[in-house]
Amino acid sequence: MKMYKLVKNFITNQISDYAMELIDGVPTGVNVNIHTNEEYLAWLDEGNTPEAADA
Amino acid sequence: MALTQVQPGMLGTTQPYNFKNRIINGAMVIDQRNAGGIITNPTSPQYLLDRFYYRSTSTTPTFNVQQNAGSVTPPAGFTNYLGVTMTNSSTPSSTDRFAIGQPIEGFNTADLNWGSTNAKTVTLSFWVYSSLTGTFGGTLQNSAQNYSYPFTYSIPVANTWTQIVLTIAGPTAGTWVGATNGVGIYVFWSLGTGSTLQGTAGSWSANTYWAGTGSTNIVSTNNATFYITGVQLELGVSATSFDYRPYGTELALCQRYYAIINTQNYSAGYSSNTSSAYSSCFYFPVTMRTTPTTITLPTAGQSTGQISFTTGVGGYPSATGTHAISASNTSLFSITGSGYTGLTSGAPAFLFSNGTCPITASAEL
Repeated sequence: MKMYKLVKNFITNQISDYAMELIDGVPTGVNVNIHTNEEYLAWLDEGNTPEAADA
Repeated sequence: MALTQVQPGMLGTTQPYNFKNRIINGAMVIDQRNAGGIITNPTSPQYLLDRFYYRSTSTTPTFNVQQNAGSVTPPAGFTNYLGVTMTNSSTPSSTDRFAIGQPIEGFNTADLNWGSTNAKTVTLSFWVYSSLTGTFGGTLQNSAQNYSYPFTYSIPVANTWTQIVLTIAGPTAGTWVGATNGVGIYVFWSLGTGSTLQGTAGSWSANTYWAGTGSTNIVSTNNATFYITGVQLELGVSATSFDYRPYGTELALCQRYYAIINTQNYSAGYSSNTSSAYSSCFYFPVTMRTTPTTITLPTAGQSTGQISFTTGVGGYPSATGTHAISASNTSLFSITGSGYTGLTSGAPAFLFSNGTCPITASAEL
């Protein structure tokens, strides 16, 4: 199952503009821009919520 | 004898300069994603050869796309073409459309003044080759795709290259993106268009048309082929010679929208002094159109084809963690690694690529 996980920029301590794509919990290497990636935005529109970033 | 006057004939036709072609990769030379390999059953929207993509309303019919599919001899002066081969035909419903096209960036079309009384005429030219004959279609559209110019063209002889030239008076109405990085003009070639999405050929309309009325549906014939190359959209009322640009120049133009960064061996990195997280920065080959919508990283690990942060002297950690993009803009991006064990917090680190490990970035329209 496809999921996304937010990423923290450890230098700024802010959430990155990119989220990691996960398939069955495993990173695929695909990183989507959370503001402009149409596939990610459509996934959000379906009511999905990304995993929180690691603390 | 010294030259004292430049005669008009010395300048060739109306546009003797380069960069007259608003289409990028019109000679189908650049294929970064596939390197000439077959693209099986592309799904909409999917980029094919560089800057050319597929748009459709349905996952059927299916077809393959390949640079130089079928290995026919390209038209004189060209070495490559984009080839479509149907693998599973289907008749489009009245509202279906299947097309290959290119969105042209507004910065490269703003001077045409479309949507104003000063709209300039352009000429679209291209070479086509098909197993089918008859009338085929396509369209030009604005960014919102609510103003369009459906067109038709004829392929009179099967399996023979035919050059098509269409002169198009610029639209004086419709909303057109100006000098921005958005879509200035869409240009599409129909593979199949339902009846309600076909419009009167050769005129502008405040409708979303994808082909001229009466266009042949290539998708309706199994094993049908459709090849295209030498695509040029230029200012003026006639087609001039193809705008051949140096390979490196054409590649750089494509890299504004899609780039591959082939990492190999070591790149610089640094570590956080507050947690076991590491970061390394890379520059794009050229300034991207916009901050990429997608950046794809190689698998994290210590085997061939994988990347891992290492110690400052190049030693692998006991366990490679997870990689993500911590920041990016149109010039660069940063890879961050977390969840590592065996690296020292606060110490220098390198990002090591075991073999060639491509990173891809897409800022396509």
